[in-house]
Order: sequence, then structure tokens, then C-alpha cells
Amino acid sequence: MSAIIQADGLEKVFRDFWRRPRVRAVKALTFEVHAGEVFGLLGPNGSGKSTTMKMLLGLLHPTAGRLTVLGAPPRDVRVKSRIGYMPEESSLYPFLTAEETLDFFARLFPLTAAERRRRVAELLEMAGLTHARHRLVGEFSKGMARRICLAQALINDPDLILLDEPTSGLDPVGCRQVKDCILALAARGKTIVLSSHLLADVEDLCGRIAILYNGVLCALGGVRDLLEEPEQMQIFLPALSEDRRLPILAWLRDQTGVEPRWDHPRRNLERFFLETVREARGRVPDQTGVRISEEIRLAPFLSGSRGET
Amino acid sequence: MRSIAAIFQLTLRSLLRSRFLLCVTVLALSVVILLPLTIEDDGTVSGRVQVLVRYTLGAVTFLLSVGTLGTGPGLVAGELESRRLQQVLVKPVRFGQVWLGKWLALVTVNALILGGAVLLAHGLMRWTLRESRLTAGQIEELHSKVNVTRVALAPEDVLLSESEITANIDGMIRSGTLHSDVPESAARMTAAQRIRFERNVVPPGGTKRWSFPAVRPAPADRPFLLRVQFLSSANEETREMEGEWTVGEPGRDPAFRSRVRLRAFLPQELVIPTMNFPAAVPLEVTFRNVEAAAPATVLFHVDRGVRLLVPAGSYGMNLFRAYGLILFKLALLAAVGITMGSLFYTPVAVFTGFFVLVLFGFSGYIGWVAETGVFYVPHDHGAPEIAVSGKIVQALDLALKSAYRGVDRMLAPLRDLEPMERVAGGERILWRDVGRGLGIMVGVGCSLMAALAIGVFRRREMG
Ligand SMILES: Nc1ncnc2c1ncn2[C@@H]1O[C@H](COP(=O)(O)OP(=O)(O)OP(=O)(O)O)[C@@H](O)[C@H]1O
Ligand SMILES: [Mg+2]
Repeated sequence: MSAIIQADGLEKVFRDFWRRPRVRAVKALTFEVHAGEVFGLLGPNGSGKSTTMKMLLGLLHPTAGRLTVLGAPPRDVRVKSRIGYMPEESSLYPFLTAEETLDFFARLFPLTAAERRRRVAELLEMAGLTHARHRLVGEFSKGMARRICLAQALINDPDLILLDEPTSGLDPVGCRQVKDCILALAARGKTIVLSSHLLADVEDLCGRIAILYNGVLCALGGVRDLLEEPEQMQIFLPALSEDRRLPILAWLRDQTGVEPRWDHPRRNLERFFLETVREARGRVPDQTGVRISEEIRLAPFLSGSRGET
Repeated sequence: MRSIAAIFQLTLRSLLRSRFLLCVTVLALSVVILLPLTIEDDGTVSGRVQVLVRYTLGAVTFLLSVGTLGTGPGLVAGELESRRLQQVLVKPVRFGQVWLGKWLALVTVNALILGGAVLLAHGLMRWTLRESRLTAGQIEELHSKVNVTRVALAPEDVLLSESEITANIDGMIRSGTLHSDVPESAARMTAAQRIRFERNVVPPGGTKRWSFPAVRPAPADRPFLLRVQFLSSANEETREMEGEWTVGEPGRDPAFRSRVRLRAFLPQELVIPTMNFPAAVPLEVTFRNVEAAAPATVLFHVDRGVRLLVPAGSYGMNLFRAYGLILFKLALLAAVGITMGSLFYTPVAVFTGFFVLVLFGFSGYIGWVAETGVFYVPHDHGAPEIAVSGKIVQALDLALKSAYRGVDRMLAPLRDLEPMERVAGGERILWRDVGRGLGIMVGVGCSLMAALAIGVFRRREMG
């Protein structure tokens, strides 16, 4: 697998007006992201996730270390045409409508007018904002703005997608949709780097993760490898009555020499919430918010990755 | 191209929604309407035009300059601070394209507001000076002085011959005015200046002659004007002097001859009625000092003593050229504003932008300081007016003087491209001047600003 991002000894020091070092936001960070994987940057607040992303985008210059993105330095315009970026705060032009916002970003790429219109319509549909396309984004709720932000990041059908806390501010339905969207994009061969401190999200999505603490890389590897506890195991059974359960547990105790524990698994809250909303959809008319669709349908123009596989 | 157009449109929309610019627009248009009501003119039609055009459009230009420098920096610095521009710059867009798109939008807005103000001022002038409200004399003045623009022709230079200069130096050395070991070059410069002044002196009863290049004859309703400016030795600034003026073809009986009393010190204009010659001919102007009541010597202004104002073109076209020149200046200020916004954070950017505006405003003063020095220390004659340790002050003075001279050299081309005075005075703005304005202010000035912004931005971080 070829490396899409190669960071070697990356370091970022923020300086004050007199060029004195003020914050060492990233220290000696070395990692690679391979084509087609979903890579997670984790860490508590202020650990350097956004700083790392901005260096990948060429918005910040590394103080030391080497960085190549899609085989070139991050400021290369050719690189930029293959990247999509969703910043952690949705900063949009409040006087544009949703449709105009996407159209504006689309015009920064070499697309024909017809192609532009098609992509904008498809992305609005995908973001569930088709009915709100003529509303000003300045009036949007936080989650609606997040959706537009994600849509604008995909306007150029990018090969590499950088998402800074993509699910922050979204309702659980939106979270689920964004996560499904990320998985669908990954299935089409896109490379995705995302940062988050919502661990459940990361666990659902990422193949590999890096954990930062105060700018230092503390763990790096596949999610399965990092989380698996090889010294324990779980067995799933249909619920058993007490008279059938006790002999089985006794037998297990005889066999292993340890006391086995048992419990009823709980439905997770996310699933419960999604089911409730799905049920409500038939009864409550949707007027203001986002229109909830059954499942995320990726915009058709988002093809498989160009070049790489 | 497409990216520039997208950024242009976006910026235009944000500008059209800007409260600040709305205030500037409302102020500018109300100035055009209200200023003429509050300023008194001198009762002549030309005086009215001065108020209606020069003062109002001068005020509008100032307001637009402030508006442009107030909004320009925010277009980059403000958008960086609100993290909007970052989203644009991670797309395949060069900063130069962003700069250009924003600059074009700011210039367009300026062009629209200024255009509105010019049209409004023009309309108001035509309306207040409509013939039904004017006396016959005023109507004539309107037709002959306002509706027609004129090119100011300077008389041909009378070259100084080397032998004349040498003779003058010899004379000065003989009379003891000049020490004989003064360096040659300094002596020649002094002598040349002296001769130039001497030639503009007309003693009582004396005569002076100027030659003008060939000019085409003027129709009766668009006469030539002769603008003269002189001092009188009677040492009263606005004293009247009687003179006999002639204008005509050299070697013939002059077509125009008139004895008039003209005031000293301020530029005065003489109307030269129809010049009835068939084709373009060179002209000769003479002046005879015939003041009898209180004879005094007349000294014509060395540079602007006599100008022949020849009709060329209409008021409307002149106003349009003036519009162009003002717009170029605003375009330069827009470039300054956007570039400052690319270099600094908002408050610093706005401050530096306004500093440039102040430089423009004080360019005359800067030119004066560059000439005379900051501390005004007389170097070689008389006692110093300020009692300070001379050497340090002189060194400081020299350093500041050269700094001022540098700034002055940058501003000088802009200074003589001030158009409003010329429009109101009926003096034609040449297309050549418009071209020069475009070249200097937009071609050179704006490109330098863009290059500076792009160069510095390459290293700038956008956290
Ligand atoms: N422009 C800046 N100037 C100075 N310091 C900065 C700048 N940007 C970030 N920092 C500092 O760098 C460190 C890392 O910040 P960063 O935004 O990368 O954290 P993060 O991991 O994204 O945090 P969060 O989870 O809160 O988004 C912080 O200490 C922050 O204060
Ligand atoms: Mg962050």
C-alpha cells in the first residue's frame, strides 16, 4: 500500500510577537497514512490534533520535520485539488444560501457549469438540505452548518479527506449519517483522516488511530490490535432460565478454575434513539430541521478514488 | 479566471451588504446635495461651479478613500480571523487570485458610488445653472468659461546661451556679488536662475514678449483666455496694475490690443475674443507696463507667468477623465488596504492604511519639508533660529530630509494628477494624463502592492 501522507519528526512551535516559543503544540510526530484507510487522530483538548491537520493542509508550516501529502509538499496547488477539508468550526459566508455556498466552492475547481449544478444538487440531497437550499447559511443551526461544511469538503470528489471533528454539533441521527457517509467513502477507496474525541465514533470508523497527548504521539496502530484483550473472551447466548444456566456456569467453573460472570447486554443508546426517531418520522411533519432519510445515499458523482486503489 | 470571478462576486456581495460602506455612500451622496447649500460662492458662475463640482467631489473622494481603507483590510484580515478565508485557500486557489478578485470588487464598488456622485453633482450643476435663472452675462460666462475646457499652453522656453551665463557670472564677480572661488557648477546655476528672474521683470514703461507654438483659430463662442500671474514691486499683494496687452501673429499688426488693470498676486484671466486667422499660426503675446498713477515694477511668476488657454473639448468629457483619475487613486487605495490586510491583523492593517492616506493628504507639506529640512536650520548665513547643538540637529535634519525626499519622489506623480481643480477651472485634462495616472497608480502602484502581499503571504501562517 502506498503512503498518502508521510510525516517524519513533525514539530510545531507557536511563537509570540518577539519570536519567543510560546506553545509546543506538536512534538516529534512520525506517522503514515495509507491509501484507502480511515485514520483517526485522538487526544484530549489541546493535544495538537487540529494543528496537525492544518499542517497537512499547508495552513501552518511545520517548525521542523518532513511532511509530504499525496507525494508533494502540502502547499502545492495540485495537491490541494485532490483534498477535501472540513474544519472544526463551520465558518461559512452567512449571506450566501446553502446552494450558493456549495456553488461558490465548486467554482474554485475546474468544473463545467452543468457538472457544478449536478454536484451541488447531489450534495444538498446527501446532506438532507435540499429543501433548505435557498435559506441563508447564516441562519442555519449548528448541525445544519456542519452538514454544509461536510458537503463543501466533497465538492471536488477528493482522494484525501481531512475531517476535523466531523460529528461535533450533530444530533445522533446526523452522527450516524456522517459515520455511514465516511464508511461509504472509505468503501469507494477514499483516504480519510479524522480527528475526534468521541471514542465510540472513532472505534466505529477507523482502521488505525494515533493518540496524542500534549503534542506527543502516545499510541499508534490498528484499532483492533490496540483494543483487543487477548486474555479474555465473551460468549453470546440466548437468555437462559435459571435452572438451565446454573449447570452451565458450574461446568465452566470446573473447566477453567475461575468464576465466570454473566449479564444481559444492553441496547446501546444510539440504536434506541435512531429507532425512536424513525418511528416519529411518520407522525411529525418535518418543517424546520434536517430531513431525515432512511439511510445515507452518497452523492453519485463521488466516484472511486482516481489513480490509487 | 473562474476562481477570480467567484471571489469577485462573493466579495461584491459582502461589500454591498457592509453597513460601513452604506454609511459612506449615504454620506457621499448627501455631501453632494448639502454642501452647495452651506458654502457661499463669490456670485460668479465659475465660483458656483467650484462649489458644485470641486468641493463636493473633493469631499466625496475623501469619504470614499476613508471607506476604501476602512473596508479593504477586513476583506483579508477579517476573513482570516473569522477562519473563512482558510476554507478558500485550502482549495486550489493562489493567493494572488484572491487578492485580485477582492481588489476588483472593491474597485467596482468605488466606481459605482463615485459614478453616482459625479452624475449627481453634474446634474445638480446643470440644474442650478439653468439658463432661465441666469443673467445674460452669466450665460455668456457659462458658455465661454464653463462649458468649454481649455488646454493651458506655456510660452516657448527662451534658451539661455552659455555665453550669456558666462557674461552674467563675470558681471557678478566684478561687482563683488559672487566670490571668484565659488565652484563653477554652482556659479552657473545661480547665474541661470538670476537670468530667468531678470527676464520676468518689467520696469515702468518696459515691455515683455512671449512666443507661443502654432495654435488653431477658435470660434467666436469659444474664445482664448490669457491667464497671467505677477507680483508688483509696490509690495501690496492685491494691488492693481495697468498694462497694455497684445496678442497676434508675429511681425503683423496684433489682432488683439487692450489696456486693462489687473490685480497682482492671484492668477487673472483675460478673454481674447475671436482670432480671425485662417490656419494654425504661432502667436506672440506682449505686455507693456503703462501704470501711470503709481509706477511700479512688475515681476511675472517665473514658472506660471503667462498661459494661453486654448479651447479643446467639452466639460462633460473633462469630467469623465477626472472621474477616471479619481478612480485610479481609489483603486490604489483599495490595493493598499487589501495588502495591509494581507500583512497585518485588522487594527494594525487599518491603521497603516490610513497612514498612507495621510501621506497622500500631506504630500504638499512633505514636498516642502524635503526642500527646506525639518528643523529649519540656516546652514551658512545668519544666526540659527533655534538654539540647539548644531551638529546633531544638522545630521538629523539631513537624514530626515532624505527620508522625506524619498517619500516625496513617490508621491510627486500623484500630486500633479489632482483632477478636480482642473475640471472646475475649465482646464482640459489630457488623455495623456489619464494614461499616466493609469500607468502610475494602477500599473505600477497596484502591482507593487499585489506583489508585496503575495510575497509576504507566502510565508504567512493561517492558524
Ligand atoms: N494559532 C495558535 N497560536 C498559538 N497557539 C496555538 C494556536 N493554535 C493552536 N495553539 C495551541 O496549540 C495547542 C494544540 O491545539 P490544537 O487546536 O491543535 O488542539 P486540538 O487537539 O485540536 O484540541 P481540541 O480537541 O480542543 O480541538 C493548544 O495548546 C493551543 O493552545
Ligand atoms: Mg481541534
